Amino acid sequence: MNKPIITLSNVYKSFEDKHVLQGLDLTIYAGETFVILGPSGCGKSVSLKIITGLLKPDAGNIFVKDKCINSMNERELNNIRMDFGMLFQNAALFDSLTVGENVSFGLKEHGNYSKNEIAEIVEEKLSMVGLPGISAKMPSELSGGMRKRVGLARAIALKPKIIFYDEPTTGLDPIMSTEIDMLVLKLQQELKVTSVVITHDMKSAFRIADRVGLHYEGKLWEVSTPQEFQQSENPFVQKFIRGEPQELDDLSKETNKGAKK
Amino acid sequence: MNQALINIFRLPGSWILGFIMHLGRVTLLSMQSIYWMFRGKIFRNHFWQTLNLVGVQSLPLISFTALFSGMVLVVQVGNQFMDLGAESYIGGVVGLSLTRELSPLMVSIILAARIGSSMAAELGTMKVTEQVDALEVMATNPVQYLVVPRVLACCFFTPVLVIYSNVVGICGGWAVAIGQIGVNHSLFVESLIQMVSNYDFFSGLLKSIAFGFIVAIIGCYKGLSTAGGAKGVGTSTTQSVVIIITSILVFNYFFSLAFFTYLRLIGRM
Repeated sequence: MNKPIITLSNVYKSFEDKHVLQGLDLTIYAGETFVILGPSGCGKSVSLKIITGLLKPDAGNIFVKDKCINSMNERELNNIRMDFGMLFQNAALFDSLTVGENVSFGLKEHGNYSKNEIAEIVEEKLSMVGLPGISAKMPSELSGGMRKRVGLARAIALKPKIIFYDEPTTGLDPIMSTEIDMLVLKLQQELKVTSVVITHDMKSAFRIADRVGLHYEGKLWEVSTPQEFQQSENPFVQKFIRGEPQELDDLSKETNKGAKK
Repeated sequence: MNQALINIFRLPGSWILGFIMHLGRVTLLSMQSIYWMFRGKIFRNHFWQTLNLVGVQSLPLISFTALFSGMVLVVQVGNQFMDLGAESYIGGVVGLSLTRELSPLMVSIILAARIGSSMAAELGTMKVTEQVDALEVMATNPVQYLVVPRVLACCFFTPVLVIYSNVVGICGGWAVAIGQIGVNHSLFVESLIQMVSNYDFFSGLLKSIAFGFIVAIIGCYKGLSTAGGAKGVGTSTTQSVVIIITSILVFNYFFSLAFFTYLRLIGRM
């Protein structure tokens, strides 16, 4: 196994009286695709925002490439972020900029490229996500799936080492979801990046993941390969896989008690 | 009994705490903006876009408002001054009212409604659609990218609009004074020149730079602190206009007090 690239150690985060993360531990290894599964509103996106430095944890440490990021100043954090690419839930394209300007944003801000080089890279990245020749379009002219793919082209423009995907298939039809999954796998193979994916789409998770973890009640449960995860004897995991809504809470408490004993 | 007493103080207490919290955050944002103005690169595209919005697109409304304010000012004071035999003061009164108070206030309130609300809505939408988060993940400081160009454009162009408003307002007043009230042209111009000093003119301009800063910083602050989707954007937009206008009126009092009471006293010493 490769060396750890992201480590979360005993991380806590609360918003007023809502305790979103309660001692989250997580290790992600270089080059793997790690999928965080979990029901809506359980704090998956908060974990991602904490890893990317968008939120500060109340307690605990976050290490990216062996460097603790929660004690970093903005400049140091931005240096780390140069290795990040992120696909947001609704793509988060800058709606006042064209597709080309969106994809080239990071290149213009942080790269030292000529106009021609930027145009070439934009076209190359758009082709990689299957959308060549649309750089003059505005984000408002694109469908949901196209927006996500442009978001992905923007995320990979600066050749990141870690790509974060926040619900990449949410709101897409099954065919488009499969296409996005294929794209995640393709980028993984071509760019050799580490991918961290947050989703509640079970099919998608099992298709793309090297390892899966179930996020619930502020912690990660049952971190394992997709095959092991599906065969888990943990009743809470089985309920979640089958999509049975009732008693998730009770089951999680029971499993917790069992673990403590 | 104790609980009832606590409840009575709870609401005003939460208002006061909320006010202090927002004041602190606006101060912090102001300091960050000033820091980035001198330390980072200025995003020219946003600067020119805001300048166009603040300047060129505000001109028709400011022309209209300034013209009719100057005209109505002369209608209000003209006849009474004529009755008192004080027609030689009309030009000066119009000039003083416009340069010291009316133009800076009028322009800033128009900018609050047009620009402050637009900034709050634009940045608020960017916040709720995670575009601000996207900027941060791409190692770009949102204050440097979004706030600084807007603040600079407002601080730079508000005084220009105030000068323009002064000129248009005085022209409106002159037209009514000459055409309707029957004041002598040279008397109007003479009193204007005699009564309006450089100090009056520049105090209005200085105030307007501060008002421009208030418009941009509060508009951006409300935008960047937006939460809760479309409803949140609506709330931020409305609140930004209310807070900007209230702040401008309060600051205007203290500026007037400083410029026309304390600084003059110091000048005479």
